[in-house]
Amino acid sequence: MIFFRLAVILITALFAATACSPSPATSNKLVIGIGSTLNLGNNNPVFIQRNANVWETLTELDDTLTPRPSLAQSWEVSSDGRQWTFHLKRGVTFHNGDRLNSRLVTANLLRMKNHPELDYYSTFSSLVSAVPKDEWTIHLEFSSPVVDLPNRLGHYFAGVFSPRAFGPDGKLDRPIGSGPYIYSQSRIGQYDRVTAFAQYHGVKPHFGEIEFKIIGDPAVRIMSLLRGDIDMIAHHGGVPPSYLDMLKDRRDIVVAAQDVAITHYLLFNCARHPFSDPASRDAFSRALDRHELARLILHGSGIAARDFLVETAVRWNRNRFSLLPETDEPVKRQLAALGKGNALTLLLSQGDASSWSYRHTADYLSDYFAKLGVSIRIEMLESGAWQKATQAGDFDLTLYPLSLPTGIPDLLVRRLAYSKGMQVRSIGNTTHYASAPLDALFEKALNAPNVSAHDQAYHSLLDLLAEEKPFVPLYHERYYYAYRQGLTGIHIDPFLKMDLGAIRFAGERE
Amino acid sequence: MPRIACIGGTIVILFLLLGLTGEAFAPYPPALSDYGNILAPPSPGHWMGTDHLGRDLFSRLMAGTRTTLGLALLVAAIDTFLALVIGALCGYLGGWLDRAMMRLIDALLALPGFLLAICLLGIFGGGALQLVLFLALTGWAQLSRIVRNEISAVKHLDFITVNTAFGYSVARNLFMHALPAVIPSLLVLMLNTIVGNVFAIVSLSFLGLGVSPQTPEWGMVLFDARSFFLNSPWLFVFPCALIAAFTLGLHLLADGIREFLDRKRFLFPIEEVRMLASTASSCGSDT
Amino acid sequence: MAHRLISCFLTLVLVSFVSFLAVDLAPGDPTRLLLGGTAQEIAPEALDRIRSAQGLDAPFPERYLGWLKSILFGDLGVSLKTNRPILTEFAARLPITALIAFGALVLASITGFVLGVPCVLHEGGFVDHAVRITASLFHSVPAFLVGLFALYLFSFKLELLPLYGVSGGSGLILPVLTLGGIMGLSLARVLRNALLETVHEEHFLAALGKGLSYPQAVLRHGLRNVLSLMVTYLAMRFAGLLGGLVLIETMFSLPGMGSYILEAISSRDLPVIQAYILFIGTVVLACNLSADLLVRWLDPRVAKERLG
Repeated sequence: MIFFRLAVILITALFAATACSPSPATSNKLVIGIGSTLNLGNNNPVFIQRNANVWETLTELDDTLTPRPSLAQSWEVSSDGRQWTFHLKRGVTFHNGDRLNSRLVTANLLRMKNHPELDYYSTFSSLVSAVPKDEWTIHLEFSSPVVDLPNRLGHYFAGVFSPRAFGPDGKLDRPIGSGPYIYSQSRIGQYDRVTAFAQYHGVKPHFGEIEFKIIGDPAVRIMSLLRGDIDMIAHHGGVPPSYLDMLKDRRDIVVAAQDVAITHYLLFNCARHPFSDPASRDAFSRALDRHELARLILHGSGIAARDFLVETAVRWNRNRFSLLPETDEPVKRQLAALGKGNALTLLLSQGDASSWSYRHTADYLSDYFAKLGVSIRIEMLESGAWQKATQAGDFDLTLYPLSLPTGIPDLLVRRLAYSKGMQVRSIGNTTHYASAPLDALFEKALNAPNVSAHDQAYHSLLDLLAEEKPFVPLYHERYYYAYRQGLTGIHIDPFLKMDLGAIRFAGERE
Repeated sequence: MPRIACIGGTIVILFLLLGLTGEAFAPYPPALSDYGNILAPPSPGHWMGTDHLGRDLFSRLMAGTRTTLGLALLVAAIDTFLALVIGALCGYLGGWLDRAMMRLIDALLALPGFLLAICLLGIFGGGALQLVLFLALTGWAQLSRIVRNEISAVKHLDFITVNTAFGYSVARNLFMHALPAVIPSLLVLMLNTIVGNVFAIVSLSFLGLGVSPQTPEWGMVLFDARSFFLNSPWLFVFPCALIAAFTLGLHLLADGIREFLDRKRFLFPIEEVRMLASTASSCGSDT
Repeated sequence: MAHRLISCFLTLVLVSFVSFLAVDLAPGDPTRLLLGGTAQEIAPEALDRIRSAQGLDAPFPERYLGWLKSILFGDLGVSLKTNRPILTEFAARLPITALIAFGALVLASITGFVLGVPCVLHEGGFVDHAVRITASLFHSVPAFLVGLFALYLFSFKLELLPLYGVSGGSGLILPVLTLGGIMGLSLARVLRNALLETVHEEHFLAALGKGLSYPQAVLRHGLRNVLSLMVTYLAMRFAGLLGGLVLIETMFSLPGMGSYILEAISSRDLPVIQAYILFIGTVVLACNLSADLLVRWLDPRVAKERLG
């Protein structure tokens, strides 16, 4: 009976706790629903994702992926592309009171150089010296030309922190940056919180506190927005396209879209029959109906790709691919030959398939090519196993996402076409494509002493890739977010960062 | 035969027939997509509506019956086979083999089968083969323990002792006399195992850890429906109804058999609890 | 009892071996995983340096023993994703899972008794049939689907309970109700059947003979007899409950152990998976052991039977 009584007390206690209900947004607090935590942990160079607005970078990539000043106000480069001078912005304060100056930036650059595992873009491996010229000028010397340095300094893991935030191992104890919001705390699996930084050097943040609420299930996220528990859904895959129509009917909710710098590619295995033959790759690629794929399968979450890189990256866009299928006689003959062989294996990585609509895309491709007489077998592997299988060349086709973190196609070439590939795998690239002219062009681009030579080399390289087709673009990512009617100043950049400091309620003035 | 066993048996047999000939009932090929008719609610043309690729839900569920039931039955068959072989040998022979196997079984029973399957599928990746392998990995342990206990109990009964005195071989004693005594309770347990397997397969697929994407399967249909829960509820309701109908059939059949065999009016597995109580450790797979 | 403890210990060693082996056989280069999937261009020499610094190039037995040793000192390793000790991560998530599991067990026991006893007192009556039918229905669908529909109905349509998170405890109500309710219904059935069996035994008839009314006799003599069976039944269902929690926590956006393991799987946080298998094995073993002790204490006959 004691047991019974105890149980009754416990249950009563549990129900008594019901009294507190979820905190609704007040005018001083903004609640944003996200799918998983922004906290990346201190193995990562920046600790918390860029869209928390806690830290800033020396440069920033704008909507066309062109670098523009951020913490660095301006910069010059020598004619050989090896000497860089950066002029820093004045009056920038960090969350712990530190001031932005050339010594602080030097410490940050050396942090990257001394800890290559934190330098995700291997930018500083060729850094020879970083010398503060005066309080706000810094001079960098590299052993080889780095003409795209401003692009690299703006990418989403290149944050600048107070040197007091990282120890001798380069790892951050706390992300002390200079952004409009101060990192406050993360409750595992519940939320990440940031608070306003009053001495921010730009437009003063409006909301005293912003909470990123973690709600894993997409349907529950939508229900929470509809019910008014959260003010906004803004996260990769935040609003699944299936709910767009439903949300658009609501007068109290605004839905908006942003094109993101991510492209999804179809990769051929260039080391195995049938796609070792460029003619097979060409025919397969020409038969693709990107327009239909984007319209029917992605429901607006992707835009059919005309070129390797996102359309906003005007610097590289030359419409190298067609949206509609080109099934003329030679293509049909090639496809018929493809259809005579064994079923083609389309390999999917479980990790990618859970983040992107690859399952639907693969279903569609197999369905579409079956009608053209080519049968495709879809195989889904765990990410590690996928990597092993692609390394071993045990596939015909696979889908692959790639973002454009610096606005320069170097990652694309290195991962998918350069025969020396990624050093860490030391076995070449994912497509197993090997071409001496391409390698030469890539090395030329990497060592170009100026921007025009650099861009020219990349353009010839992309033309060659479009001709040879070791991989072809399928679609570019489009991202949907939704927020409560009445919020203004919301803008998301191609890397999913929102300028949180600019958001306010309509009608309110600073 | 009690009435509930007949009802349950009919349901189960219907589902098995559906699994064997499901495609014949299906009005459309399960993978056929009609992009002009996406997420259509139930209508005369599509009894259960269509999914996000315009595929007929009814046809997909019919085709999925084969996968889900096939995998669940396969796992149960492996479990039962291993249980009969290992359990019988251990129970009848005893000795060091028995002790060693029981230690192993103890360890397997301490690992919740479903959780272990989640972890292993997460580590090694999904797929039908892996699914069967990882579910069977722990599933056989519980059944083996019960067979072993039953056999070692039966072994000392008079008729077996008499048989041994008459010079019957170990094998003959085991297969002709000891094992048949175990079959009824094993049958009931096996039906429960199948329910557990169906739940596990559906749940794992729902988590994205199950069969490969092209395979129509009940849990996979639910997984696909996950992002359409609010505006296309039929994609959720029909698979759930199907799962419920089949499981209910199995429960009724198990209850009926138990009632018929015995032994008292028990409709819930006290027998099993009691059998396990004598060893104190076990695992369930009700997810 | 000593025998039982030794067997538990051996089991634990075996469980640890299984968890270590499984993760060791995982596809992919562990050094690369250690550096994070985005660390792409590290020179092979730097990679080798890190590999030997982390002891990843040592032979299997050495690594396994090293791992066991650090576990004995309370170090479960470090999460690859957050670089925090796994023990800290577990400690942050365990309370939620423990609360739900405990709440569900308590609720199940209460429901079991409240519904089970009337079934015996009025055998074949309305309550008896109602419990039987409801139990069969709720047992025919995985618990997470019941939970999902409950979430939709009570939290979204009726706006009675929170949609996600703990929210000061109210977020745990639906998960506890779902898991505990379903378990309680089946417990009621087991209780009913066990009680009905006892009711026909001699000592019970003797109790009736002493002048106790039927309900009094059921409560005083019957319940005591079936209590140990109930404990065993709940212990038996405990592992399944933990499994169900994985999906329930995911559905209800609760940061417990269950949703954590899914997170770890999707980010390939192998040390976490490894520690999790060992941890769950230990919990289930401990649960079985304590159930065993409880049964002996409740019903001394069991202990005697086993000795004999």
